[in-house]
Amino acid sequence: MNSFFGILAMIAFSFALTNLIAQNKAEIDKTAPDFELTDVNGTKHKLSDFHGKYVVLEWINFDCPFVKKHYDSENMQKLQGKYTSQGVVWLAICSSAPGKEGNLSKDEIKKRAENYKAKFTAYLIDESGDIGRMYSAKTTPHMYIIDPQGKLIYAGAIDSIRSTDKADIDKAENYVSKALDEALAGKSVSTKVTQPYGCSVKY
Amino acid sequence: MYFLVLLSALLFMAGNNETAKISVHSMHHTVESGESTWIAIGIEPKKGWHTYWANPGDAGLATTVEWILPDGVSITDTIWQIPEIIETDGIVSYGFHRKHYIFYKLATPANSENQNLEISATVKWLACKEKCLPGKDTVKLHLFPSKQSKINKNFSDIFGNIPIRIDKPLQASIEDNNIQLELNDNLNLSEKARFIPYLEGIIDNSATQYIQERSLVVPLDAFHTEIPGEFKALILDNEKAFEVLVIF
Repeated sequence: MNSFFGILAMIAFSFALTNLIAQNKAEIDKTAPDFELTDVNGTKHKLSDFHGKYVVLEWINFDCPFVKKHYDSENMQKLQGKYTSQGVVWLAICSSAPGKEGNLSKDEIKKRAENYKAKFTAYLIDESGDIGRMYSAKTTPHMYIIDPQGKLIYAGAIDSIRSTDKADIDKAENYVSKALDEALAGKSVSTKVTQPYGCSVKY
Repeated sequence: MYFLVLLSALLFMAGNNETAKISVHSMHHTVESGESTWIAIGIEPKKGWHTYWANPGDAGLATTVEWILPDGVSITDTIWQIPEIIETDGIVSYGFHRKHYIFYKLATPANSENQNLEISATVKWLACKEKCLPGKDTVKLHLFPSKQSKINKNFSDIFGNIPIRIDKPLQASIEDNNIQLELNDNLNLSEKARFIPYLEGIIDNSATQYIQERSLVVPLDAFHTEIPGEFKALILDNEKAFEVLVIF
């Protein structure tokens, strides 16, 4: 009899755990799951601290050729500058595990960010990959936009041309820019989900 | 009246690169004017590297071929060889560690005598092991009118490992964030069967697929893009692959 109740308890526990995991997965048009990560300078940042502002999440790996495409061309920095100047919070998140590509020392991250004149609000370190998995981040870059009420309003690619070629940037439709412009103008986002492209996140 | 087309630079014109070697091969040494032939683009990743299939999966980039074709020459069909499923830390990709080929059916123009038809193929790929590097190479071949017809016997060695095309479309529906594919009598699949669309962004590549009451159940990606009314897909089952048209 005891073992019967034991099995029931285990089933109830695994059901509750599954629900908990499901609740903590990012979904479009739903409240973006909260997280806390430490940036390259040692400062902690909690997503919910930015309630009332638009937040962009940019999955990053400075050694990935798709990330280099958008930084070498200054496309990413221009977007960061344009929207942070309008009050948008821009968080770059690196989910590369220790020893994997893109898991750089803090000094190296600062050097790269300075050389690139990066204009993100913070560069957050997610070595365990927990936040990456919570957002189903698959590629670098992989972009997300969260509205001032904390709702996820865009997830996907940075733009419409899937390549490592800088020459394609001007020809592409920039989905992040389009979604932010629409949202900042008080309109609903017309393209909420696109297929991201890039290197795999190095979990 | 027949004209023959000599395909020069047959086996093979090859390019080389840091991550992969590209070659071009033809089914015929000569082909009758106005008829079709098959051209294969060979992609041989260097040891440890892999390149990607038409749908690269969660990450990566499909290999592409940009053709420069003379007037009257056209591509009428494309066949990819069967990809491997490559899983790394929960990220699922479809691609190739081995030398593989993409086959293109080429229709030649009628009355093409005394012409030198240059065909150029610029191949762009992404190769990854832990890191990823893009590659690019151009291979060319020439078609000359000729009265001699000859099949390239070596082509049969490479024209394989391709999916079996199933003529009857598979009816599908979407229920509870799953695609439910009605399996017809011509398609007897094992529990190991894996469904992979040629299009990216539809299915959850790392989710378990299963057969339930003559339907193959395929979970959708949590962030799936718009699902077209019909699309082509592969069903991998043991060593075989079936190419199917899915209709909703």
